[in-house]
Amino acid sequence: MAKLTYKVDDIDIGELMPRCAAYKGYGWRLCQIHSVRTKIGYELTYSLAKDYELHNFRVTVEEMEEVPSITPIYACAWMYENEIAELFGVNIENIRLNYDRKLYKLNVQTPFK
Amino acid sequence: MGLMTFAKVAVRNLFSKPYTTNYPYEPAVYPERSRGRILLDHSKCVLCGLCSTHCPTDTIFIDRKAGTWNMNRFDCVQCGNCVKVCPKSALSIVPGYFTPNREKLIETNQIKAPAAFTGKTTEPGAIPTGPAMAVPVVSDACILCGACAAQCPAGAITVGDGWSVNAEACLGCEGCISTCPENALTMKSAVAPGHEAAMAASDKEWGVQRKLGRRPYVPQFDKDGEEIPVPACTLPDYVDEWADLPVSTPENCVYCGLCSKQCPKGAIVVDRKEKIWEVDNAECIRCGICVENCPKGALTLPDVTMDVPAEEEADFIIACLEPGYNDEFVDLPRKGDACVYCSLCAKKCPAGALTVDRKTKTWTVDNELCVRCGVCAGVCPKKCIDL
Amino acid sequence: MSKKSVVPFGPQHPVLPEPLHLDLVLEDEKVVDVIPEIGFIHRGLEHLVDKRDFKDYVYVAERICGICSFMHGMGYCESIEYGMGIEIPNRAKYLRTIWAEMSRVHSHLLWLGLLADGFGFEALFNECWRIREDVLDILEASTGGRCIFSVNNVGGVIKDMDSAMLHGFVEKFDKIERDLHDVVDTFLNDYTVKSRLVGVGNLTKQAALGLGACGPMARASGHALDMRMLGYAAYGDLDVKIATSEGCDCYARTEVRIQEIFNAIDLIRQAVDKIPAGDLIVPVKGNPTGEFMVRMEQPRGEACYYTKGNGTPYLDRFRVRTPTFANIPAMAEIMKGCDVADIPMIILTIDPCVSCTER
Repeated sequence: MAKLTYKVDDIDIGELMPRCAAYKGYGWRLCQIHSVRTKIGYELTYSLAKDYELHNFRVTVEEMEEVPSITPIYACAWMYENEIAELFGVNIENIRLNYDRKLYKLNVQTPFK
Repeated sequence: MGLMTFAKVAVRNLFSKPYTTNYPYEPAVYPERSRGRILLDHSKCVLCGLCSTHCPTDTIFIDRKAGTWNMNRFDCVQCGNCVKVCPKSALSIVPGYFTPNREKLIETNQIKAPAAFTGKTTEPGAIPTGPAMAVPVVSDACILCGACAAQCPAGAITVGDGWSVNAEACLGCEGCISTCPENALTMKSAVAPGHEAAMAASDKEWGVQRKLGRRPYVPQFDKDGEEIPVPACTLPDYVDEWADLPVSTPENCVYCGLCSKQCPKGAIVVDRKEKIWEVDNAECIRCGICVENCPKGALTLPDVTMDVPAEEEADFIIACLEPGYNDEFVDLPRKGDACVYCSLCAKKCPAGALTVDRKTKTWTVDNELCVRCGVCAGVCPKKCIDL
Repeated sequence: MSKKSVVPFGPQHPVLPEPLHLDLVLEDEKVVDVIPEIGFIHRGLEHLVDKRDFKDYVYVAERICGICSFMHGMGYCESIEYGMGIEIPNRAKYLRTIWAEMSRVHSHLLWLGLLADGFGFEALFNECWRIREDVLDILEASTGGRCIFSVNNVGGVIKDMDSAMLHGFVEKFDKIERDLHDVVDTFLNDYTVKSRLVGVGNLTKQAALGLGACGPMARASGHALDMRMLGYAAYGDLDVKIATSEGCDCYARTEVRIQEIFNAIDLIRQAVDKIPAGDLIVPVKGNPTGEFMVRMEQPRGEACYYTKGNGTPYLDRFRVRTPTFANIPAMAEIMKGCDVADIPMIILTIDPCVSCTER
């Protein structure tokens, strides 16, 4: 039985796509992506899971730094990436099925800062 | 593949009684625990405002000047948090709902007359009316964690080097009592206005105790009844004020810095090059983690329990230290006078035969478990164990 | 090649309990492309976490969703408890498990009713919700709320169920189980029901993995994936059976959920037999620091709860990834190539909960 643990590996932004591709090749599924606002920018945490194992890796980006979209690898990532782009204002490039920061129909200014 | 699979249920329903109740003509039955509506007991409320600060939807708000407790019933989500946090049990949540209203109203409850609530009498020396207000007092168990200060709705508690309460600002809500993780707080009737002198004297007494640290210093005695001198300490004002800070014995200390790393409050500073070991008396909470983790047994925490009166405790210690105390186990390891109850021997004992309790100053060995290996004698930093 | 046309579907639609909008690109009756749109009810509940004390936020977390409310509160509490290293009492773990399974039963019964309503079988819908009402009565008697329980707190639970109460509930669940067998027969064997479900909305095993499907969606495609096996709460002590099916279609998803109702009732019985005596809650000292993420099995699938503390009573970040969030891409994918008339069935069989998806 898998243990309830949480461990995050910090990776460089250039490492993100090769890692995702490798994980996808081994049959891992995308569990979630989330973003946390920090003082200088954002932390994006990608969680990939296979059966009951969970691997997390974290990319630290600065304000307006370009982040590659992982939708070419994991097609289902469009929900997460559109949400992060809209609510946090992370500059994610080339999302397939891009809602252009209009995933949520809000009458207030996004991103929230 | 089936046809008419639902027929059985349909026919049964045709000949059974209706499942629903005829509501407006029959009363609705609510279970006992049902969270229907919030009720306020006016006589118990002290307008402390804890319900207001803990309400997730900000539906309760309190106007202390006007002495009113207000609630916007339409925002209430019946979570019951206000009932849980209310220190006076003035709020309750009961089954059943309010009848529908024609317009949206904010409910206002007048708890106290506007002038009565200030907590002070208007004229100096006037006899106060009503029950005397009670304020929390702190006991020796306080670790100065600050949870009560964070909880206090009136901001009456200050926790820094010591613990103090502003009796005038205190609302007497007792919220701090339930918050305290160490159960160190109790309510005490405050001195009524006009008796400030007595109050000040009492406050001074607490102040002295606080200055001494969280427990008054109780001297330890050796078998001849002589007071054991406090071990050397790098803090210059140690003997005077901070009786029970951890102390380092310089002859054993190798300045490894482990105590500094383990300290939960970051109170210890160790500099290996300059051979400095210092403890910050304001930060230290006397938890004893540094003492337990010191690899050289160089740290001690002169800890005394308050349950045993000083004389009795001294007797107890003398009994333990008496030569021949362990005579019946002649071949067992024995402990000398220099023991500091560091428990290193107990940790290293391969058979788990040793029990050391620093608080009660007991050192016992289990005759059946002990294999007489002598590891304890080897590891003892004080070299006080012999076989 | 016929002309393509775009038909808007939702957010208000008779079959949809939730505001979900779809732009269906049609070629005659066949759907060739789908653009799903959510975002009508974003409430910013994640953002509220830095304005509420972390102990009070439990009540907000519970109100993320009205059906799987208990799991949200429990996920929030457990992520903080694991992050702070709090060991909650065993009895609290069992009580959480029992309530979680009860809410799974009520959620699946609600869903079965909606499905019956979706294919137009009103009497079956009423029957499912009648049975669900018994479960809701049990929940109200034990917690005080029908759907939103408010019994979770960081460090344990605040209400207890004594032995007589628990055994009374087990007897009631025996009756619910008997009632269910008649209804389930209709869902699984009826000719008209099967004609609406079998072979509709095929999500292959490979696609389920690539699209990140979770919960009953993934289990109906042959993945034995149930987060209860991680052993959070008291699931580590219980014998959790995973319901799976290889059918990959709407019928398989119905089958899996029906099987899960019976498994959940079985888990309640196991937990009632094993529940230890003891405290309900431990005091929480200090404020959360550090971060933690737990994964839980909600009625709708795997949910992730992430909390990040900063040493103050106000958390830096709380993130919920709800199961529907992960299932929407899969839903959009399996709609391609189906008939317009099957769209409601496909939406319903992912058991969408858009309000908790948007938080």
